Amino acid sequence: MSSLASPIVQIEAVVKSYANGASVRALDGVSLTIAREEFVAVQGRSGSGKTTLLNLIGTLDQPTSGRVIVSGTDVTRLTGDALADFRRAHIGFVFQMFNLVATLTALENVMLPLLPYQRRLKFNLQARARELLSEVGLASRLQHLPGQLSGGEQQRVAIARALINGPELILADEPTGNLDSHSGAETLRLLQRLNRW
Amino acid sequence: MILTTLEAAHTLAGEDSISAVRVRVGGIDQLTPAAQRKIETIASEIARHTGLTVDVMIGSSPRRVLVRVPEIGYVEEGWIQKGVNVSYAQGLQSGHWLLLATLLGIGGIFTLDVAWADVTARYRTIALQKALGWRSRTVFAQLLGQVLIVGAVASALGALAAWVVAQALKWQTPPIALLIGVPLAVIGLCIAGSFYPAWLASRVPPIVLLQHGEVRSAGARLGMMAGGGMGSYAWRSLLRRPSRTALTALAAALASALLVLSLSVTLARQGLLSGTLLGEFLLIRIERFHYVLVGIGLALAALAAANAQLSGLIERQREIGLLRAVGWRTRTAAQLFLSEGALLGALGGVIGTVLGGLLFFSFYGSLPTFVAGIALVGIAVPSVVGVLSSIYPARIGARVPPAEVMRYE
Ligand SMILES: Nc1ncnc2c1ncn2[C@@H]1O[C@H](COP(=O)(O)OP(=O)(O)OP(=O)(O)O)[C@@H](O)[C@H]1O
Ligand SMILES: [Mg+2]
Repeated sequence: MSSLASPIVQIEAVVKSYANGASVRALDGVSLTIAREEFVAVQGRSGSGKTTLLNLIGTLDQPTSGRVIVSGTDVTRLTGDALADFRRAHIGFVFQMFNLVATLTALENVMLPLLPYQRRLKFNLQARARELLSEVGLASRLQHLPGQLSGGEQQRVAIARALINGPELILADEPTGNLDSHSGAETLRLLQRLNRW
Repeated sequence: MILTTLEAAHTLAGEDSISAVRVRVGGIDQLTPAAQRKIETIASEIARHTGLTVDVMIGSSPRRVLVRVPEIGYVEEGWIQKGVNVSYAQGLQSGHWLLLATLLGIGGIFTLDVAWADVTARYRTIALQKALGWRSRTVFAQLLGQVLIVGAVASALGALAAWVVAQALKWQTPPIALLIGVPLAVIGLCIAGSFYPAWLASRVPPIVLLQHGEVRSAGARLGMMAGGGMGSYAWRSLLRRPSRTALTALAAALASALLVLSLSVTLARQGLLSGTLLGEFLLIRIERFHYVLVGIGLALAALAAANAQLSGLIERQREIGLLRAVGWRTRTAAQLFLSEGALLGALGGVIGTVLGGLLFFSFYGSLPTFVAGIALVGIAVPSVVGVLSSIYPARIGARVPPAEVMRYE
């Protein structure tokens, strides 16, 4: 169903409430459309629902009501493995705390999303991971463990990981939140460059 | 084969006409230590008086064999198959104690493991208590006290259960010394087992650390040799907490060593005593008991492994959330845990098989028959147990919602 003309993200009257004890309405009737190749930043105070919104677009969570359409697919209709397959096919994530697996090397962290599904791929996973790491300027850090990398370098590994599945959409929740201003600016420039890529 | 008289034999074969004389000791129908002493006394008397080599046979009733003698026809003769001697019986006796001691050892490892998991799970709470001004000694005493209470209750229940079972099965009531002594030993074991975790807990720094289970470069380097793929990922997750992994593998190794030893004894015995009915009766009784002990040991090892994995889940919530977020299916995430269980079991199995083989060798001076088959069982059984033990943690782990990766505490 996905076509290049359709928007990458289309959100219609989305409500998300968290109901444990007192009910919190984190999102209250949000509608939003994001076109392909657009670079969008969501701003708001702490607790305004930015992470909640990203979780819904990223299909990590389901809305209480409303529709979330990503790349032409109504993801609120998907469940379980179909959701996992959808994320693996369309979405890349960059997190505030990098979330690299401490026991895996930079190269293996980049391979991680597709590691169990290697046999079905039409390309060589490791070769692709190497390419991406050199694309983010880490060609000389392939065998480093996360603990042996600086914060900025870790975030660039995370960006390479987000690209491994060739996603149409990259979601980054405060990707610079744990970086100094210099590394933060560099990370944003990298993301912008990748968007035009 | 000829049938002849003693004199004729003397003429035909000279002084060495008699190769063996069979002596049957009367009044013995069970292999008790007293009976064994009696047999050994008689044997040494014979050896002292006659200077003959005495080979003591136990549990081997003569087997009837038909021998065809030309011109007379068939003669029935009782033959004894050689090779079953007293060292075998002693092997079983000491094997008994060995098994019990090993089982207690596994129990000790189990308490250590549980106490450790407890400390890991409450890491933040303990850190908070320290930050609020608790002394290291207070934390230490608190943990040890808890284990002591649990150990006391558990061993009292165990002793009660043993007594009830003995009554129900109309066995001899266990001696009171045993009913009190064993629980005391178990409590001692609990204290010994929780000493190290309690010490670890008392040393938790008062700063609440966000990430524990830090990367050990040695472990990581070791894992890198394993190459890419799921197996290597699982292997490295195990190496992330090397001491916990070693401990859990040790429990599996002890159980596997017991299994290998019992199997070897069973199979080697068949090789030597096939077809002997009386001997079989005696051994089957002992075997069942041995295999029950092996089963308990494996169950404890499985619980320890499951426990270690479950406590690891708390630390790994975000990692699992990440795997789910980047598109791993539930089953794939579960497979990671199952692989970890299998690897842990296999590791224990390999160590245990070597250990069991060495023990057998030290008893009998040779490796058992069917070595390859026994080794296969010794490795495969703990591996399967490892997979089984990780089913529950895998189910829980795979259910971690992917949004967990976005949470920052
Ligand atoms: N799992 C949850 N259970 C209950 N309430 C939640 C949950 N997650 C978020 N909330 C609530 O929903 C609201 C929005 O949270 P969200 O994390 O989306 O904010 P945010 O804009 O990302 O804030 P920040 O800038 O601090 O990260 C908050 O009031 C928060 O307390
Ligand atoms: Mg947020």
